[in-house]
Amino acid sequence: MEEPLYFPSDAFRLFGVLHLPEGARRDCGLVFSPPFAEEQKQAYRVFVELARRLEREGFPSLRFDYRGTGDSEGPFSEFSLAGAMRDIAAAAAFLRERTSVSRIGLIGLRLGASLALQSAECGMRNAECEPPTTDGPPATGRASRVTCPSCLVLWQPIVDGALFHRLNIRRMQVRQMMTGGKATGERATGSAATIDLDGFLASRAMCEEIKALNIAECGTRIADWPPTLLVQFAHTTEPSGELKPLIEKLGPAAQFLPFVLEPFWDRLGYIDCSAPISATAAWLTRLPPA
Amino acid sequence: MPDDTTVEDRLKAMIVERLFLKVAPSEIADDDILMEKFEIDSVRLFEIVIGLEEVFDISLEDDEFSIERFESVKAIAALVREKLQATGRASA
Repeated sequence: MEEPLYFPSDAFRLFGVLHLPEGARRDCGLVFSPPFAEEQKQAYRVFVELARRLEREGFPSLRFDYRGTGDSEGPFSEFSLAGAMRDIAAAAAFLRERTSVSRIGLIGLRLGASLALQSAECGMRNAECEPPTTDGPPATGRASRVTCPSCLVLWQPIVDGALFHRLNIRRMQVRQMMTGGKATGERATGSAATIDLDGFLASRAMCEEIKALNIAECGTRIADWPPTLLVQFAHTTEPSGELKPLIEKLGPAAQFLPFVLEPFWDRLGYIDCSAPISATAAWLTRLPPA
Repeated sequence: MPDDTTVEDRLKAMIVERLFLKVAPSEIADDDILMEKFEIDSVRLFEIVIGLEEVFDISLEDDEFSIERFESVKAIAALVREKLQATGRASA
């Protein structure tokens, strides 16, 4: 059963879809952390398919839009990594409350995977810590605490935020070239307050926050890291240069699962993602109960 | 890849690999119009841009983003050689 709904995160009402299995329900709920901007649009349907597959396997889950994105409240300029992490925590708390599961896992794609990993790290280091504060509107609504997830599924996380920002700029330049014959993009963004990332007006502060992201940089391995599935989509099964330091950082807690598949979040055409969906569902069902 | 491969060879291998094309790199002629022959849209062209920056360790400027510079392997290779020469690096 799927239930569209809103739930609170700070002062925002976030849109989500709650997936509730009809039959026997597992004691682990899953929160989906979506990607950023254009990638979120392209990946939307695959998240739906994955959530439905997991529902059939007995996992309740919650898909949602970060503040300032999709159907959630707030302008896109309100989006920030700190705010998105607070939204993940709020989604986890809401799912736990609605389903009474004792464990929560996080499933993220691209920037959503990076944020899921950072949320887990925050939870691991402090057992239970406040999510990072934002420069946005005062948190008059409900603020949730980050707790350590019981498992993590990371689909092609963004390891290097500066590289990701450059990709976004390149995407903008190529679009300008295809529509106008040439690009005027990067230079024009030098002093602009916002950057048009394929229709998403990103603030300077948002871009700087993304550029500073580096999820492989956070130093030592953490003991008792939750079981983690690291899924790669590439033209080869070898770990990419970007993922290698992350694999090294996560150590034996992480299973690396490569697929020779096009990056569906970056394509206009249909990409059959049934193999990674099935593999992810199989991995989750094999996890031992708490 | 051996050192004697040309810029064109490396470009073709990169294009086949990154676009998951079902052809051998040697099946791409230097003069093929990529957008017509391989149905290259904006996202696939984006993939080529990222690929050539990565493979040749170059960085493109705004004024280098013009359609004619990306219409064929021959045109892209000329752009790559220009960039390599500007940074004092030789190319085959």
